[in-house]
Amino acid sequence: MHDLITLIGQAIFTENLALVFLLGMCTYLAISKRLTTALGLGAAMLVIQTITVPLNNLVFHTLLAPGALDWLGQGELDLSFLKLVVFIGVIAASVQILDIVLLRFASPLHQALGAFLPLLTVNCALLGASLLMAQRQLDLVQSLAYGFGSGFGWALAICLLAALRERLAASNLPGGLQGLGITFIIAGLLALTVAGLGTS
Amino acid sequence: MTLRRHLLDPILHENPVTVQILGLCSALAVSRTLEPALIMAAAVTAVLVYSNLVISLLRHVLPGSVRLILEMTIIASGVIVVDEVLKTYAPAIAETLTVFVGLIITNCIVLGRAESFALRNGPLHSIADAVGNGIGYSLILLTVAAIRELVGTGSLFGVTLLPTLDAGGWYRPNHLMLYAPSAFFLIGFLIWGLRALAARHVATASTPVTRGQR
Amino acid sequence: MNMPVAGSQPESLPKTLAITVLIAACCATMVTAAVLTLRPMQAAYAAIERNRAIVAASNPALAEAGDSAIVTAYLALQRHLVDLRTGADIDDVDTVERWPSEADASRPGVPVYLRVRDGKLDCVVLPLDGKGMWSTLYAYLALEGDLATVRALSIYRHEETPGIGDRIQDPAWLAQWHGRRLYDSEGNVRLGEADAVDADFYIDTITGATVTSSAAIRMVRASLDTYQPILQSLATRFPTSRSTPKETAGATPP
Repeated sequence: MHDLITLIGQAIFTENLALVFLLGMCTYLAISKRLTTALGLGAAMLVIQTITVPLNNLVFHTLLAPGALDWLGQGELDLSFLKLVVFIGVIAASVQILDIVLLRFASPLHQALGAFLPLLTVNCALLGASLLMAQRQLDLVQSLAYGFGSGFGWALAICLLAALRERLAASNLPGGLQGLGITFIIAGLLALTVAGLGTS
Repeated sequence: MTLRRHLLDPILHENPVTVQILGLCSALAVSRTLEPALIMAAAVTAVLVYSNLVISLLRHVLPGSVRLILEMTIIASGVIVVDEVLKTYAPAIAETLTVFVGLIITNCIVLGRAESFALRNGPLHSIADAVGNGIGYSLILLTVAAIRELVGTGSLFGVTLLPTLDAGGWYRPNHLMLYAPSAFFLIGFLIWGLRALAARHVATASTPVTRGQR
Repeated sequence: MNMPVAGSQPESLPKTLAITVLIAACCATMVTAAVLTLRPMQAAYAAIERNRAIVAASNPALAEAGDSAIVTAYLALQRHLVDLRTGADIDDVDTVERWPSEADASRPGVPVYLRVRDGKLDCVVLPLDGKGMWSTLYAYLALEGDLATVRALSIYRHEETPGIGDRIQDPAWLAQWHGRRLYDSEGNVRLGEADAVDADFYIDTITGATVTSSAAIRMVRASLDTYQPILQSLATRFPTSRSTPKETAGATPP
């Protein structure tokens, strides 16, 4: 239990996907102009990450990992190079299914998150978290914790950035720095605070 | 003429990283030193050329309903091949790149160029566009990596240019450059500089330079 | 997202299906062909890197040597598959890569590498594994012929955070292991103790990478217990070298 809490803490802060591994940057910088949008996107990320990382863990360990096909008499087979295709497929499918399920059973939630779901299919934070999970040989429970933590960390990072950008929208900056330029620098400052927490 | 434009435009005026804000993750994350950055740039360019070529050739037969997933399959296969080739011929560098080679799949430049260019243009122009975007991406990645490696460790490509204090020289390396935040700062300042230049250009020639594209 | 495809005709299900299957088949063939041709070369590289880690532990000067020098030095070592519980030889050649935590009752052997000069034990290299912060650390520990002093530690494989945890591979950090003692005069394992005031036993952790570097120290300490039977039997086999800690304890006060 203690280990799991450490793992979640690491995933949220010291190994933050957005601010330390710099994953999901396109969405992170492009869709962080308003806090409400960022909240929706962050929530969608948290939900999908918590689903796909353990799901990919399950798929990886029953089908792809070296020795995973022992039950088929194919124990020698190492299909782990297929994890790229399989993970992206699982992620795309989960996003689609979640979209349909939310539309059918929780339409207010779908209204809040729906617009962001398709965007997340090609977000590298999702694929990145699953690949890191496979690389670090996490088990199912750990990967659930890691999925939750890393999703929460990414959501936290984008909300922080959006809140700061809302404040800055009215400020007077040199022309070339306005918009994208200053966003990068703010993101850098956020990353710096997180790097300050880092002990590994 | 247009072929040349398709090749040259993405290098500066339509740069995928600083103007279109695409493919940022790897541009930020693998830019600590030049050697992995160079390999990464080559890998991304190779995948771009391959995917633009194949998708441009298939543009009349790709069924619209499953177009995206087929494009992802084509790109993913290319990335797996590149990943395996790197693991074979440059294993030490492949290790430092960790998951970022695999993440070329979700690099928005690749899918972005396939969707917005290769689907509407012939193979020759698509290759020109891919090479141009590849060079544009590489240019930013290598610039950032060169600054980070030189300021952060006093060397380029591992060759010492500024002897550090640790090694008995005079240069005290700036360790900030070894950490992720410095990549944000450098690209932020790069964008500032490029936009300021472009703005001056606009003021004199009054041609629109930046075009928002997601 | 749904822009019309250039020149798209009205779609029919069989045609869509056929094209999808065709593209999938082509991609699958390409990937399989690439992997099948490249795998053997990757395996060869991995084998050399493992040999390099073993050789680098026995002789740190060779850490950056060329591949052929590594293979020569590796083949010059005596390679034994040894029973982890009893210290008895099972086999003379190491055929597999095996780590102490994988040894069990049915397959108790781990490969141990000896460098013997004129009948005297020059050094012994032991494979180690242990949990790091994120991943399993794999390393080789070389002990001097007296079996009570560290010659070198070399890290073979890990998946720790790039730029942070992977600093356990820094030569500067690894260098401090050289010459450290394993046991005090009572025969207790003291190497790498957290509160070791004695420089003979002290290993510094890495600032900013405390978790991974402490894990590496913990791995070495744990392995000294695991390898006790093997170290005992080596001490009996090479009596000219100094004997094992437990026996030395009373005889040679520091």
